[in-house]
Amino acid sequence: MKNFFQHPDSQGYFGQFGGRFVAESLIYPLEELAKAYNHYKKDPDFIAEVGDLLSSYVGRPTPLYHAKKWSEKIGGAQIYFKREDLNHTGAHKVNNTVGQILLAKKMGKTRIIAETGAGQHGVASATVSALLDIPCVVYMGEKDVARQAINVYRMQLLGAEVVPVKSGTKTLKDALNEALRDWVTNVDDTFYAIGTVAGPHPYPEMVRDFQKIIGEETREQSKKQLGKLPDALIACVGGGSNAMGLFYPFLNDEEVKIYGVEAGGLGIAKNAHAAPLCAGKPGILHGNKTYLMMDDDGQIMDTQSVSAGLDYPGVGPEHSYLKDESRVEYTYTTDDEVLEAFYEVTRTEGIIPALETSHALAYAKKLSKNLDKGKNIVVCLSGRGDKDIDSVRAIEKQT
Amino acid sequence: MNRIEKKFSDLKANHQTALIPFITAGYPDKKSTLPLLHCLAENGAHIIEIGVPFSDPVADGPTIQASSFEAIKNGVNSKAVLDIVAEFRKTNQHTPIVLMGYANPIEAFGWEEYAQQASAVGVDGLLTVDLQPEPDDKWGALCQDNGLNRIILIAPTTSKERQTYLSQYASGYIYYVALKGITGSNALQPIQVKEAIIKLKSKVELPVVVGFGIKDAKTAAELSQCADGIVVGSQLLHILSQHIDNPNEGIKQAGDFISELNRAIQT
Repeated sequence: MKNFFQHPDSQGYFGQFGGRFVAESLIYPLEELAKAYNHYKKDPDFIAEVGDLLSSYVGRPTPLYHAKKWSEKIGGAQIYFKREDLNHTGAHKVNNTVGQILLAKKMGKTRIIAETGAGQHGVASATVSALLDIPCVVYMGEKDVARQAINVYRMQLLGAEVVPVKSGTKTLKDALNEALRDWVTNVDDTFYAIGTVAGPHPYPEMVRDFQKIIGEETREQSKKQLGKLPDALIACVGGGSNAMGLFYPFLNDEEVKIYGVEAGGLGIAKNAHAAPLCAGKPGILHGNKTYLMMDDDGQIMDTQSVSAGLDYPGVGPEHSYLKDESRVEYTYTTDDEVLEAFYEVTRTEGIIPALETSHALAYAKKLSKNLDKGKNIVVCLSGRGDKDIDSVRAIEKQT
Repeated sequence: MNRIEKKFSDLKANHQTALIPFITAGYPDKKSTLPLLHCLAENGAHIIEIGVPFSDPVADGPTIQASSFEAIKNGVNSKAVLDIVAEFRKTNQHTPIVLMGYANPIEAFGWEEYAQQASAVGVDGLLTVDLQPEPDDKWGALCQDNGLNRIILIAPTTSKERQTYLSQYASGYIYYVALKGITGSNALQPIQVKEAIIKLKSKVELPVVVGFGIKDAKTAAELSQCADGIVVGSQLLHILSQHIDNPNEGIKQAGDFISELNRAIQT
């Protein structure tokens, strides 16, 4: 079996994917960031500081929870939840912002910018910025500002400035464009904290490294609780940071099957989805080469998903690589299946999952049905669903 | 010697500075682009940069973004841009044309096909904003094989070592980005920019042109004291945007603006 721990290369490539496709003005700040990251990732004091905040402030390690009732109800394999929803701020995003914003302080940066879709990365950035006393500006598509009002207010309470983005499709991809434009204008004092495993090198590697604690803990917990590694892993994939975090430490464990679940929206056949790995093709966006949803002219297409956090036309380049290497199987679940899983897990386990997370849960249901009771599946419960209750209620009223 | 090299050599002999307007193909509408190109050339444009529309132009400010967005709605893709250049070349053989754009539309078109067809219709140079030269430099080789200049950006944040590295890959001219920021910004500092251009020119052999944030004749004139060329884009598109309901008037005003700039930079 291939060694999957040797990517990216020095130019930031995962096979043919990744790289650094940016205007010349951003080369210097990216090189500065890569240099700082390569230094601090080996610095024992920095590692200890990150570790201390993750345990005392974020609340790690998060439990690996056996969802017995739901497993029994489905009647197949045993399903375990890696409870990233129990992190401070309610999602896995904070694992990364602790790392990046501490790094920003080490680099002497005095201003944080971030982009956000569902608002979870924005909240996580605003939270750690408040803790570390650094001003924070969050770019958010105007559409998402409207559908994630609670998170907008949370960010503002935490002292961040939320800038609604009115250009393009007014969603996550445009928020990312706007953050890049801010960064190129304010390169001297500003640190751009990207929330997912996409963007130009070194972001895909750095964000993965800050998130891989999810998989590292899961590996140890599985050995202790199951006496072995799980048979399968499942995570939802938008940009793909919770998935990369869970998957990475298992990539060389051939016996562990790995599934990434994209947003099927109203359906792939209807062409209303956010599933570039399932239905897109390789292209170049936001600094990296990766699978994208684009038309024949190379223009980026609109996406459709019930969850703002997955409403993104691209995906982290390492996922594109893992797809082409057939190490991870990428699939999708539709909005209807997602809502069904959302209700089931809420009612059966007393856990309200985020709509993003519910994509992974919907697939777990399908997969476990066909497996026998002795098999074990770990699902990354990437975030809690409190932020989504207004959306869900609005859908209930429509139907 | 291709059209760009010849143009700079002629300008140098006459002690002139190149005036390089940038427009977005297909803005304000598809049929205006060809008359606009001719109007710019007639009013003193020495080289014309044509922006190939892209949905996510991250190096561009609001004006060029909006024009790109409109152009896509007007159905303008890479093929349409090449067709416009082919039409332009039927009556204008002397004004060099540079296509400026982003990597993904070329990725979708096919790199080799794009270089071949651009060359065939009479394009002279390509500037791909988000494509950096890489050690294997396949793109540079494709440009060279097809007789196209590969225009390269150098920014205020580019280190001296990297300036040297990048200039090995450049041909035609080097485009110096006048400010830290996006196109059409307000932050241009002429004195600093002049110093930077003088330093850069002492290191490279190619002509150095300057752009990003040049909005008026005064700034253009000041920078023309040291730069070999002046690029004006956002301001030109802004003028066109003021005459959406009457594109012919917009074209005329754009021509007047170019003529004014040309007088300012040649004195």
